[in-house]
Amino acid sequence: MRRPLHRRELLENCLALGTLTLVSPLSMGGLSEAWAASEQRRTTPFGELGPFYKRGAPASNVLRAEGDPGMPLALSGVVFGTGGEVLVEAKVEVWQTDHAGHYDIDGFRYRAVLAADANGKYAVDSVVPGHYPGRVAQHVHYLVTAPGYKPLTTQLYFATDPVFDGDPARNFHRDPLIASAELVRPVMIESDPKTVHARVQFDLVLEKA
Amino acid sequence: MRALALVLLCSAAAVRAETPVAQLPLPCDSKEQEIAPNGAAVAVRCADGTLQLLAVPSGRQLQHFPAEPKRTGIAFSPDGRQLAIGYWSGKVRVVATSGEGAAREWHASDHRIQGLRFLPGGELLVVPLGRDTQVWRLASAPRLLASLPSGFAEATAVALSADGKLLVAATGDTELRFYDTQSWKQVRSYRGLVLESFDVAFTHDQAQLLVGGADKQITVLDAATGALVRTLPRRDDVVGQLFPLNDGDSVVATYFDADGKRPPYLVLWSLRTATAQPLAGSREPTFTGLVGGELWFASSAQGGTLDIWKR
Ligand SMILES: [Fe+2]
Repeated sequence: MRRPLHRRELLENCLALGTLTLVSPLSMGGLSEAWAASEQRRTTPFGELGPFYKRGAPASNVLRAEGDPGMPLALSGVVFGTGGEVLVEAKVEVWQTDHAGHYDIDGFRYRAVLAADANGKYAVDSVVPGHYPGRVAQHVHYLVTAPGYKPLTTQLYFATDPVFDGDPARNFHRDPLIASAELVRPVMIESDPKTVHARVQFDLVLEKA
Repeated sequence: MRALALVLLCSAAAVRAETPVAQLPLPCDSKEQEIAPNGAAVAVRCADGTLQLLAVPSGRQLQHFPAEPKRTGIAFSPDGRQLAIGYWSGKVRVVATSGEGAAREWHASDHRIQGLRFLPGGELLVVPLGRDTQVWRLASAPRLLASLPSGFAEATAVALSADGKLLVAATGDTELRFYDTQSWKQVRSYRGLVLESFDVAFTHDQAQLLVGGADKQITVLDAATGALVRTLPRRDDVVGQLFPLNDGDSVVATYFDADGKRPPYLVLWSLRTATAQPLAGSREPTFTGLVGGELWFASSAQGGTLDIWKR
């Protein structure tokens, strides 16, 4: 497995190769710390797990079956630690309703465990989930784990959800379970001659255990 | 720990047996109430966000709590003399239902309080959202006794044996954890469930533990060993609450549709025969719970009054 270079190693390599000249008043150590500080990431805000989490979801990057109704959704992101390090051993478990707002609790439709790749990236092909009684906003549930890091449960929301009236920063409180506007992600609508689909990027940041 | 509004299913084969308990004037528009385990008080959640505590059967106001700060849940002590209130802010407040004496109030968590439960010894279980379950001793200033691990999610239901020695917690990670309440150490676990449990309860003789939840069935475990005894036949809907009755055989279960499209209903199970029959009623209850080992109901559907009855 490829190991990401530490900042200090990268700086030293660059200096050794002549590709970097220190013009900063900071020392090598200071520069490394400043770089580290600039890469610090805030832990992804918490979101409720339940109530229909199901243990044992399959490992699959394709949740959408041929002919499933609803707008196709390409969901992806990178899993980081708060120090900016990518977590190549992360597991991202996602579950959501189908297009009509129905959770499959008898089987595993729209449920999967995704392994991050060598760059900490996960990606899944799904549909935009529906609304259902008892919850205001459309959402995808996440349970993210990585060795040495605290598990994260959170939820992803869609900026295009009509409930936000086009202004999620102002209106995210309309769903009382949304802890932060940060969880409401922009949606890119893309089209080709055959389909229109939504694309959402949702990076996840875990805190060290 | 989850309150559910219930609708009784009407059926020719249904069981009907109702005894009126009280009829109180309602001080506000309310669709949710909770009756104290001693049957002497009822907490009325008003549509305007306030909470009113009324004496049963007189209807006299005992306490009044404003709409702000926002509450998340309440719990009565087993003797009905104390009421604990959880808040969105992570604060917990414990008051005497009589309104006498000073309230105890403390900040238990940075997360909102999802659940509260008194233990017979006077301790209070506090379940903050997404966090471990806390055990607080309430004598004088509240003191944290223990923090019970709950995996990657909070406890969704807890049950305590009648002797108070064994606590079983169902957590969002679908595990059941058994704790010795003397040491607060985990003594065993059960990992045979794959979906969340919404209620756990000991049978009347304490020999078995009943578990119900999103898997739409009631799982029966041996309380002493945690081993699976059997599952009762699966139904089409999710199990919300379990009420084992004093006869040692009957269990009333509430069921609800996971999609929220059909009304919830009650079913009476016989553990001995593993057979079920709908439990019918003449009104739609806005509270269902055990009071002194009997199943009590309340309904505010008549408008202006709160009817309380038992079966
Ligand atoms: Fe959900």
